[in-house]
Amino acid sequence: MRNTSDRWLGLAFLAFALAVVFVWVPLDVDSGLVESVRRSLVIGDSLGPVCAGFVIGAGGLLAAFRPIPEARSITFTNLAWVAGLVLLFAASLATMRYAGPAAAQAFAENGYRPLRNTIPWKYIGFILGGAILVSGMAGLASRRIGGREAALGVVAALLIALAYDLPFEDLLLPPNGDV
Amino acid sequence: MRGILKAAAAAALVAASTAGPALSDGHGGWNPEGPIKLIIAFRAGGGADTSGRLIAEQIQEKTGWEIIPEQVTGRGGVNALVALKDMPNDGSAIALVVTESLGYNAAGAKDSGVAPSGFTGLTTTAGFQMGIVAKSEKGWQDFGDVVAAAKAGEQIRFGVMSPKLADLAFLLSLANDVEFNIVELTGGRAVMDGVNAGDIDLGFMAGIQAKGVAAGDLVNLASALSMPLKQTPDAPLMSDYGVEYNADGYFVFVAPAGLPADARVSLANAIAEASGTGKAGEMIGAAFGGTVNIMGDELDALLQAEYDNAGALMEAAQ
Repeated sequence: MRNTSDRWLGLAFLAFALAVVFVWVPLDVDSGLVESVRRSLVIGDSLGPVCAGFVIGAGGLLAAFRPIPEARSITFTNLAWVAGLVLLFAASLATMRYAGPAAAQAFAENGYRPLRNTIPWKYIGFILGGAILVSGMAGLASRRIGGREAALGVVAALLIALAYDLPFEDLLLPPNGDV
Repeated sequence: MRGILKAAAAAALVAASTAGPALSDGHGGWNPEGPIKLIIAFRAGGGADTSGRLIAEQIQEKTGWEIIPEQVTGRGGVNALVALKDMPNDGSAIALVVTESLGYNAAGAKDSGVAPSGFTGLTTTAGFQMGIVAKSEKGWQDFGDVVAAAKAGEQIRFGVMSPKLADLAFLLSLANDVEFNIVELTGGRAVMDGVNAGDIDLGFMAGIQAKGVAAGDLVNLASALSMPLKQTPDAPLMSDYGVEYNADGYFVFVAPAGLPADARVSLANAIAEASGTGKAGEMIGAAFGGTVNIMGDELDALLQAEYDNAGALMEAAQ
C-alpha cells in the first residue's frame, strides 16, 4: 500500500502529541493552563505546550486518516542511515563525556574534576569525541571511512577546541563544565 | 612494549598536569584541588554579576585559586541553585544568588527541590538598597504622589524584577485602594532602563539607581526595606503606606550542602575579604551602600527564616 508511511507518520505524531499533553506537561510543568495570581487569572506555563500538542495531534490525525496517495514509503536504507547517525552521535557524545575521566582514573591520583581545566586533560574528551563525530559524518556522507576522514576529524576537532579555548579565559570546553 | 608505551604516556600526562604554579595558602589552610566553578544567577553585565566577577578576580589574585564564572539565570536564582545542588560539595562549585532565591523564590518553585537545607551558606556580600524609584521629571516627591496620581485616574505602570516584588507592588495597590499595571522584567537594569525610557512609570531597584539619584535624574519615592535607605534616609517606608512586608535581602554566596568546615571557613573568609577591598569593595560601596558579611550560624538562621516566612507574603497576595 503506497500510503502506509503516511499513516505510520501520522500515528507516530498522534502518539507524540498524546504523550506531550498527558505525560510530559503534567510531569514537567508546575503550573496549570491558567493560574490565579494576585487575584487575577493569568496564562499558565502549560497552556502553550498543551496547545502545541493539540495542533501536532490534529496534524497526526489528518496524516493518518487522509494520507497523500503520492507519499513515498520509508525504506530499510532510510532507517539504516538514521540509525547510523543516531549511533554515531551517541558514540561521540559518550566518548566526549567519559574519555577524560577514564584517562584521569588510569593516570591521575585525584580523578578528573581537579584537572578539568588543565592541559592535556581538558582536551581529551572534546578532541576524541569531536573527531569521532566529524570523521563519522564524513564517512557516512561519502560511504567510506579511512585515514583521510580520520585525519579530517582530528584536525577539525582540534581547531574548534583551540578556537574556543584560547581566546576565552572563562570558558570550559565540553564536557568540563558538567563533570 | 605495550607496558613501556603505557608508562611513557602516564609519565607525560602526569608531568603535563603538574606543570604550573603551585597554589598559595588559602584563608584558613584549605585549598581547592582544582578550579572552582562560580555560578552567577544574574544577567551578565549587571551590578550583581560585576560584583561577583570582581570578587572572583580578587580571590584569584590573593590566593591563586582558579575561579571560573558561569551564568545560570532564571526563576530568581532558583535555576542556579538547581544547577548547584547536585555538584560535588568539596568547594569546587559555589553560586552567587540572593537570599530571596533560597526564600520566597525557592518556596514558590515547589518542584525544584531547592530549600536552605540543600546548601551551605558562605557569606553575604551586600544588602539591597531596594527603593521604589521614578524619574525626577515625573514630579513625584514620594510614593504618596504616585497614589494621588493613580487616584486621579493616571494609569501607573509599576516595574518589578521578581515575583516577591510583584506581590509587594500588588499589596501596595490594595492597601492604597488603587490599581497598578505590574510589569515583570528581567533584572534591576531592565527596570531602570524601562523607567529612564518612559516605558514604565516607576519600579523597584536594588541599588542600581544610586548614580541616577545622586545626579538628580531619579528619585527614591520610598524605601522598600524595613529601614530607611542609606542614600535618601528621608524617603518613607512601605509600612507608611500600609504594607508590613518588605524587600530586605542580601547577595549571598552558597555551596552545596555538606561542605567540609575548613572549606566553608576558607571560602567564606576569602569572599568576605575580597568583597570589602579593592575594586570589588569600591563597586559594592557605590552600588549597594557597602559590604555586609553575614556568615556561619547567623547566615544559616537568616536563610532558613527567609524560607519559612515566604508563605505569609504569598498568602497575603493571593
